[in-house]
Amino acid sequence: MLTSRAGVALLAAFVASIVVAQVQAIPGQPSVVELLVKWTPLLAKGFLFNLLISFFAMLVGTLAGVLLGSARISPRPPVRGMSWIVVQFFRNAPWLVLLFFVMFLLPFEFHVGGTTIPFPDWIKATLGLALPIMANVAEILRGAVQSIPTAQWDAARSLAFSRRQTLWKIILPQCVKRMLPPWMNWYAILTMATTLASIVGVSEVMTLTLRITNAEGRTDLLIPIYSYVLLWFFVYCWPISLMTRRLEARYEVR
Amino acid sequence: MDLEAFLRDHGIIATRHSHPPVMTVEESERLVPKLPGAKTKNLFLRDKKGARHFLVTVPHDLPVDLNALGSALDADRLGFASLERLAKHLGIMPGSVSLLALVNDAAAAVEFVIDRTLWDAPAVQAHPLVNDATMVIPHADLERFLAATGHAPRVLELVRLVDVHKSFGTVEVLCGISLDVGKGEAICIIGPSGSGKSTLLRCINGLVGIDRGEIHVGPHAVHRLHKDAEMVALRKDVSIVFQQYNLFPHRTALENVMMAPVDVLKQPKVEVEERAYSLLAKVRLTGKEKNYPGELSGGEQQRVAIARALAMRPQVMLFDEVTAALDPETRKEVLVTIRQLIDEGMTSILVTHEMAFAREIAQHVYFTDQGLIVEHGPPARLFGDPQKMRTRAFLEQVL
Repeated sequence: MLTSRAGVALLAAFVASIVVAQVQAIPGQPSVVELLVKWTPLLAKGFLFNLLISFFAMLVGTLAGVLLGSARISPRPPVRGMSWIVVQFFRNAPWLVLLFFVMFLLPFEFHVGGTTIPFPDWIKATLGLALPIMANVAEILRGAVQSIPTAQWDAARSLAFSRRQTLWKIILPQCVKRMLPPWMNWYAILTMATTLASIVGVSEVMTLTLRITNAEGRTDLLIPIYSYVLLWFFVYCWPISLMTRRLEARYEVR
Repeated sequence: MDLEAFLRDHGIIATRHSHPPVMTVEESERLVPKLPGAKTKNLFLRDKKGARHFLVTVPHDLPVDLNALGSALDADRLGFASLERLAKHLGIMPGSVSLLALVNDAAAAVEFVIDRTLWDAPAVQAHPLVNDATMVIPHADLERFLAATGHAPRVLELVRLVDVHKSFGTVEVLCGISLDVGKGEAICIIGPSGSGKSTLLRCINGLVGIDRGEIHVGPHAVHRLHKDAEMVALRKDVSIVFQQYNLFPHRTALENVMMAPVDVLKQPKVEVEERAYSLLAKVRLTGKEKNYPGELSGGEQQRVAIARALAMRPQVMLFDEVTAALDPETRKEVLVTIRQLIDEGMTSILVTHEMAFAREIAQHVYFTDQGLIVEHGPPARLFGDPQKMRTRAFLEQVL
């Protein structure tokens, strides 16, 4: 959980690292602050790319997760069993392993007819990150559906609703509220995990940071620039975390 | 023995009246020969599907030309439309269905008229079939009269349970329940908690499958239905109201009422909306249509649940301890609503702990304990003069 205290500590570390860097600064070189300002536009671009990956991964993961979650509560045991295996696999595999798995499994381009459709790394990374999200959303959905009183099912059945109609028109709409806090929590986790994409060569913020430090060749820049990026993630994820906790508190008393 | 003596012996005070007599085939076949000096000629009434039979029994010396009667009633003398048509011909609508026995003095024939309101109608009094040679047994005495002649007061059985058994694991919840509910009748099932009353209701609309026995609801053989799709047809005819209302919390009162007719029955939305408004008005919730269940009191929610059940236009309503979760004040408004429905002729099966209410509205009361019907009878007898020790013990506890 991201707390405001962690935020303050992070900010303090960032400021302290700048102060230390300034004190140790060699005359004639541009200061650390100047460098940070200089590279901020590029870092921002990278950061936006991370957000883009997180949006798409969440979208794909949620859609697939709803389908997988529906399979988890199927009245048919084989469907339930198969989906259980899928969920367990993707929930318990390390994200980085999944990411590599997808990177090497999928081709870098598709040939459809005579045309070649490129399949860039960042899309593959997005799909790789969507897999654990899918499994976790499926579990959230299953939990939420099972938390709806069976009396709702009875009422729907006695009004001649079929199972499918009951699920989509009566049960799932009631689940949305209950699913929202854990879903948002997973979004925050996913956003932070998008930096994993740097390991498989996607030009997101971590990759760019590494390139900047390499280009500048300044060891005193390392700590300030990484804590700078860390601060950005915190500023983005902290409100989500805050809202999640608020929503959780609100639905808990019901 | 003459008729008047027979009635007097059974303490039934009949008045002279005249009426076109109507009774079911079975009733007349069983009853007519038993009565002293029964000499009648019969007219069969049958509806088009042949599903219902009625027998019009007229005294043999009644100056009626059957051919003329047949044509007057727009039918031939052996088969013409159902009772509804007869009632319509007589200028009344058979709304509240109940039994009324008429005994003809001249021929000593017993006749059952199926509509309680029928015989007060001016059109009936003026009808050529009506003469003053008919004895009328007041409605209140009907049960006694039927008991004296050895008959169950049944018009049409809409719900029939035969030897129903149900176990949950090793616990036998229903151990052979049989009961009948006539069309337009209200019956109450009373008994201690855990005697299988709620399970019984859930079996009738197929929420719970039974292990053994038969359940018939109109044309549906519930015990033979297994697939979801087959159940759907049954549940269009049977509605249930639950103790905990079970409204859909994410929909407004109006939407709760409209959902099933629109989504399941695929009825046009405009028409359903109009009906939903009038149903909510009927349960006195005008102005609360847009409220969510969470914003309504328990009694209001329960009345929305009743409106929601009625929106399906069911043949039978099941009420599962619908007032048990309510406080005394809101309880009353729900009971008033249910009584109104029953007065309008809705066939109803109620599981209830409201003894006074059961006594007032039910035609028949069943006392169940440990999955068996211990005793049943008209409310006056069951509450006033219970025969079994167990019944007496229970009633002493609750009354």
